[in-house]
Amino acid sequence: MSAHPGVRYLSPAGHWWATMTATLRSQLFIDTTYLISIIRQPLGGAIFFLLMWITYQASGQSVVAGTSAAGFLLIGQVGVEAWGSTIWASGYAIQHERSLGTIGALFLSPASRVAVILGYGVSGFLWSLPSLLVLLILGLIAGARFAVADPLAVLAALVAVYGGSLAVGFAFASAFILSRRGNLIANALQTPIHLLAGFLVPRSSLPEVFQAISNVIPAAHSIDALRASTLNGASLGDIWPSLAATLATSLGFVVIGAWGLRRVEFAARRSGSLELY
Amino acid sequence: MTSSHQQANAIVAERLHRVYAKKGRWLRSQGEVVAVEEISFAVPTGTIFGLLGPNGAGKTTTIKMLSTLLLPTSGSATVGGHDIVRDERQVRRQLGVVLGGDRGLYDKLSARDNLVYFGTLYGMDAPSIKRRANEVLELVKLQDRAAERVEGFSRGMKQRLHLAKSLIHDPPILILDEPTIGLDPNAAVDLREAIAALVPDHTVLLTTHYMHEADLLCREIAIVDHGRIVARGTPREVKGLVAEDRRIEITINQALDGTAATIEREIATLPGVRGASREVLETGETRFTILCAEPTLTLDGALAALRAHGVAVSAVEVAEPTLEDAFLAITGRSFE
Repeated sequence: MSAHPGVRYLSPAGHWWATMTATLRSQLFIDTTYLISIIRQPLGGAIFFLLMWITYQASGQSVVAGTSAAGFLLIGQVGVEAWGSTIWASGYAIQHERSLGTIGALFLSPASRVAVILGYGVSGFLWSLPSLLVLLILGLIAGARFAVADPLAVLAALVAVYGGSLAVGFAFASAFILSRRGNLIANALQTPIHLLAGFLVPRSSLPEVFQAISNVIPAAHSIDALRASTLNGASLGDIWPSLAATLATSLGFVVIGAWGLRRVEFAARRSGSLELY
Repeated sequence: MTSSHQQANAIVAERLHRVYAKKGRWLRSQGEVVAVEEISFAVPTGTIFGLLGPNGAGKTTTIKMLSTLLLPTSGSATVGGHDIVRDERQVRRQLGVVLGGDRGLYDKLSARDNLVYFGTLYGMDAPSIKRRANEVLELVKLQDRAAERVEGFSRGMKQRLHLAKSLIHDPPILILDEPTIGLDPNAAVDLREAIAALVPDHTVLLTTHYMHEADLLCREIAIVDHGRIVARGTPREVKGLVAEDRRIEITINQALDGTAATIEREIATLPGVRGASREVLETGETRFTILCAEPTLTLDGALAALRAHGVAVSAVEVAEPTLEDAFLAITGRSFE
């Protein structure tokens, strides 16, 4: 394969892992070169939390779905952050590479596209951690109180929130290959998803048809699990149906993403639109 | 296509054909355009092969097909013995590609970090990446700037880094799309030296619209025009197509406005003229280039035509033909 006798190659698994971590590192480095991004990242989530909290206060609702409005919104905001950071990071991965003109080189390499997109997604997750800390402080000030009985349940639910969002972002990545304006689709879907997934209002308060639609969103189930484990002391045994639903719906999006990536890459190679921006 | 043919040739294209759908607003189609029309050529292993042609000739479409970024409408090709459609993964492992344009690097990362990232995408282990990064940075003379962010690089430095990036996994075959376009003369010379040093360890397919570059670097060339190969051979052989001819350059030190096209047509129809073209120089002067068999006769006719339009000539030069002249003779029009 190589004219150079000294070049050694990693195993397929090693290549996959190295691609994912190298993408993660590169994107984190690139993101943190902009001071304005570092400041803006936690500020956006905090302002949105305060806006929703004031809205609940103004309407006289201090208790939502059996818990404090601050606690309900704080956990919902974790969903918003997870959605925002992972969907945009992983879904936007392709468009970002297009804008840089690196997508040709990326697709010419034998690296796994999934590993690259996951690297973007995980960097988005790490990038959202300061926001979560700021939200936690704000939530506590606003009156959120936790009742954790099973820390493992909280961890599992948190992983499910991010994992589920990542799966949807992965499915979106192919839309970004298919259309150079895939971000408009993601933009249009963002607020409806926030509502349907129960980030801002309880899913039980939505019209029945919307409740049915919300069942296909992984984050809708994982947010239920996170609220139950952090605010109501639910154990792993209590939340497993929500975790199972998250896993099942996430797998659906992963399958759509893997199929879509292969199909749209082929379609883009056929139409000659892969590198266009 | 026999296997011995494939072994002797790193790249073999057979009747490669590509048609694009012309898109209108929204989903409307506005017909089709043939970008590459049944192109066939072979690149011998360990040599530099040049695809030459003006902008829009079909060079980039050809190399995009060979590098698996674009599917051919029909025809076939192998790279390193692998089919570009059926064995795309194997083709990609054999290839290093420099695509034309200013972009294609991570501007916020350093030159070395770019190379490390791309080396990782090719599955190289860390010690190999480190060693190769040093080697290719030295080859393209960027070792002293390796730690600097790419956003501060000149276009020439970026082009050299593009070449280094394509070499990081040490592929046996390189495809370089207009690698020196837009570079200042010194930067272009540096890059050409780096490209020349790649053979015979590598096979290079180079596209360019600089004829002198192809003349300097390539063992064989194919001239592409309107999606078809119109001439092929060594640079000497292609120039040999017009070896008996002479090139006359007539420079006019005045604005010609609407008469320039008329004069060009009149010169082109003079007896013995194989091609005529005109260009406006940076100085504002107009230069007519004529390829002909009988320079004395043609010059008399051309000067008479110019006088008839009241145009005074400021300089005349008669020279040996170049590759540009071969293109002019073959297609009847200028390269640009």
